[in-house]
Amino acid sequence: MIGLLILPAALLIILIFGTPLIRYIWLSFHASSVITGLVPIANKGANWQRLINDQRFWQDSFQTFRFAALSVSLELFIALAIALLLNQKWRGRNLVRAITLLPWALPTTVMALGWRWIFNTPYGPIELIVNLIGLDQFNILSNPNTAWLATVLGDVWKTTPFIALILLAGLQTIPQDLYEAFKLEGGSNKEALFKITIPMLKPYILLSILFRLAQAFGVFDLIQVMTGGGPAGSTESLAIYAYLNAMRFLDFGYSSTIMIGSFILIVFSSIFSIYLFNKFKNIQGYSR
Amino acid sequence: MTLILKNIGRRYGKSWVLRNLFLEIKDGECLALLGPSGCGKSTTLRLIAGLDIPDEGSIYINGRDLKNVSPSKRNIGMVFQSYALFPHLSIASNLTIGLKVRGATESEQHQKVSSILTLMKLEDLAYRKPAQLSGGQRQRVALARALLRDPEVYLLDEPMSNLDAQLRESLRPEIRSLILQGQKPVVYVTHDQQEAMAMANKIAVMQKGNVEQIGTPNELYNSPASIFVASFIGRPQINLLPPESGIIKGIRPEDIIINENGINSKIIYQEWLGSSKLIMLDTPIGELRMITSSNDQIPECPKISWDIKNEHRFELTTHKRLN
Amino acid sequence: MKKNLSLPIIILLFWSLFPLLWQLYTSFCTPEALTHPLEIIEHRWTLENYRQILKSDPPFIRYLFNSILLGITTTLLTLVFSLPAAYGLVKIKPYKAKLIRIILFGIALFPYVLLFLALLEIARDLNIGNNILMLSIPYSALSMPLAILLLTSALKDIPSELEEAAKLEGLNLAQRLKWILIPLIAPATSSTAILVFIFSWNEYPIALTWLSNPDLLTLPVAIARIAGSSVYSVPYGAYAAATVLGALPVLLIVIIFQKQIISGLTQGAIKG
Repeated sequence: MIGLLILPAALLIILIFGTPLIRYIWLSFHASSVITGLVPIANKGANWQRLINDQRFWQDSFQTFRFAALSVSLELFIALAIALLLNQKWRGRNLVRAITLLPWALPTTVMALGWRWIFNTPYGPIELIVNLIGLDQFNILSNPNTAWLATVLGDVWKTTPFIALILLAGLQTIPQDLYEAFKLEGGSNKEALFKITIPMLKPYILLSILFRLAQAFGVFDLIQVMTGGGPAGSTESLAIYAYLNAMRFLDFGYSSTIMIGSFILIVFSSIFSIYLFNKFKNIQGYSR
Repeated sequence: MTLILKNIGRRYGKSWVLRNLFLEIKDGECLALLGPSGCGKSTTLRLIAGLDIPDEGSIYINGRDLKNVSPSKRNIGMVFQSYALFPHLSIASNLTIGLKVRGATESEQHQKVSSILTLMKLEDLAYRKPAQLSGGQRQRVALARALLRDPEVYLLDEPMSNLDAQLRESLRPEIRSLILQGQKPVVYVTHDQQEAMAMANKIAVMQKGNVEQIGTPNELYNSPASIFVASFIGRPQINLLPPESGIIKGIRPEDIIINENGINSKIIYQEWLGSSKLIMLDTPIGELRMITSSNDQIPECPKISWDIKNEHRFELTTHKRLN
Repeated sequence: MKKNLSLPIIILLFWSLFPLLWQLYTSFCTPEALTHPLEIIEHRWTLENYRQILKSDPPFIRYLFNSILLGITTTLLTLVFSLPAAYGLVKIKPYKAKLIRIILFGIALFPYVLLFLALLEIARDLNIGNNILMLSIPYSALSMPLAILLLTSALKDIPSELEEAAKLEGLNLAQRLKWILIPLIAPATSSTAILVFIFSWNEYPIALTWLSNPDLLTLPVAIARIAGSSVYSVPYGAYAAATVLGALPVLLIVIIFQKQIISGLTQGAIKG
């Protein structure tokens, strides 16, 4: 009886999350594009064959992967520093904490355009400083080697506050007397960070990695607005590629294939990164 | 009016937390369910309230079978261990909410709540929130809420366990007179034998889902039905002597006397309890506790004995009373 | 100890605020000032950017209004579905509830951007595209996993004796929810509501594909449209004014509801 209360929410969640997945799997075995007049026609795995031979898909997978890996690791480091700072007692801490939170709360599209202006050549502040020092222009956003780093910065700036808060919550669960006991044993502050703080934060770090990795793999808004996937496709993520296939090339069948393909990659790399993290922790623990 | 529990059983998975329970509580009678934690006393209370459903047996109030009667329709006044006051409502609202859903008019609500507040000396606190009250005050509000609904049965679940010892003792007579003046069956759960003896006119000692013995405090103290009851009732604990031809003898510490013809012993240590003192003795039959008046001068190695009619005898295998 | 904290604090503030302050600065600059940043020119400061944004067709206020309307509907719809579901999750058998919570957690991790195509098809089949209120249906479904998890953990924190006492007082389920349970989880509910509102305020891909009528755009879509043109012709001054106006409501929300946001985010982390 009481289970009925769950039903409306469950049905809506299944409608919005479940049906798309089934629809994509079905569509990925059909041709449904301008050529077929968007009427799905079974094509016996041709989409999947195309995906496996599609250089752009693998190029985008690589780009998405390095974007996610670099963003998430930078975010973890910076967030840990912020959390350690916010965990100390000082005046004005609450105000600074609210300010720290701002980047997380602002719409991605708004700040993506803001970053575009900051990286603008020649009028953005970064190029201005480069100019003042007397160096050549950076052209950050029009150079395929640097544009993706600019998008990483935009992502790190926006999502670090979220991780910082989770890690801060984790820090507050560590009993203070652990540190006091450690100091009585003659441990230094720096040792305490590696022997108490980080091991105790492990579940929170894992949670952050899980949360952020999946989101970073699906990065869309930031890249769409900041670079549009350019220059020369160097910042194009899987989600952007799927979007282009659906909305610009009107190839729903192939777009669905890309999305299921991305989904599989996301699940595998999340599992793999958790495995790596655990292994890394174990090696560290052993070497001590 | 009578509250009857007939052959009640309750199990979680395969283990029975309560089995073959028969209880009968008449109007104006206060039955204490006494036992260590996990003995099934709280479960019994929850079954009567309808917050839990028995797997076996039936519960009747005045002959009405409570099967399929929801807790809200049972007309039961319950005081919870944590008091369970609604933290977001004022004291007055805490008391009014039940009247409101039972369809009392505004003026009835007002009149009833203000008279109970006066009775419980809570008038000044009517518009405070529970968090602003002391433990003792919260306990009175919880009691007021139970009294207000003029229930058919009162259930009290360790109502004093969150109060400090001094307050507990001073509140006992007041609570006793309040709940008994309702002339309704009262079930009082506690793990404190002193409190049970003070509050109840009947005590059921429970262990592992079974009632070991039901009786007046006097009966339980003077003729405990088993070793468990004998050890649970009375402080300091009863002395149990080493088994002798299939019998275990128990002697209460206050029944041990100094006697020149008695057995040898040596004082191990003493504890002053105010008017009396507890003396721990080493004897050939093991360590014995003894209670004497504080003023008594006891030699270092007293000779002790006891009156044979004060001996409690239990069977070795069943732990049941023999005499 | 205290003294050497000031440098990291200043770095943190600069890191968090610089991009925002640069937008604010840009929004008050004339085009000449933007193209001659280091030279001394006559007309450096202007309100023209704001005037232009407020007078455009449709006026920028329109997008703000759309986003606020969508945010409120989404929040209400999410709570109406999530509150009973959370209550149900607390009451069903623990192992079932645990399984459902794990599934919800998995769904909350899912990068929802991948759903846009199928959702677009649903909108097309049901003919509910280009409708701000209908957009709140996918929005609330997307917010629900997290909302239900947060509300469930709040309900679990209520001592069971409180609800039992309410039962014995004669309150039925609806009365218990209305007078006891919902008021008691009000703090968690407001945290949840604010998180849902911010999600709805910032959401981009679904809004991008569902809305094409210029009068119905939400703020993120409208702002991204400004950027739709080429990198070099973006009217940055006017755009910066738009971002400042679009960021203001969120700024206010963060400053006023800082506590609720933080407890919402961290509760989700600790108990989810």
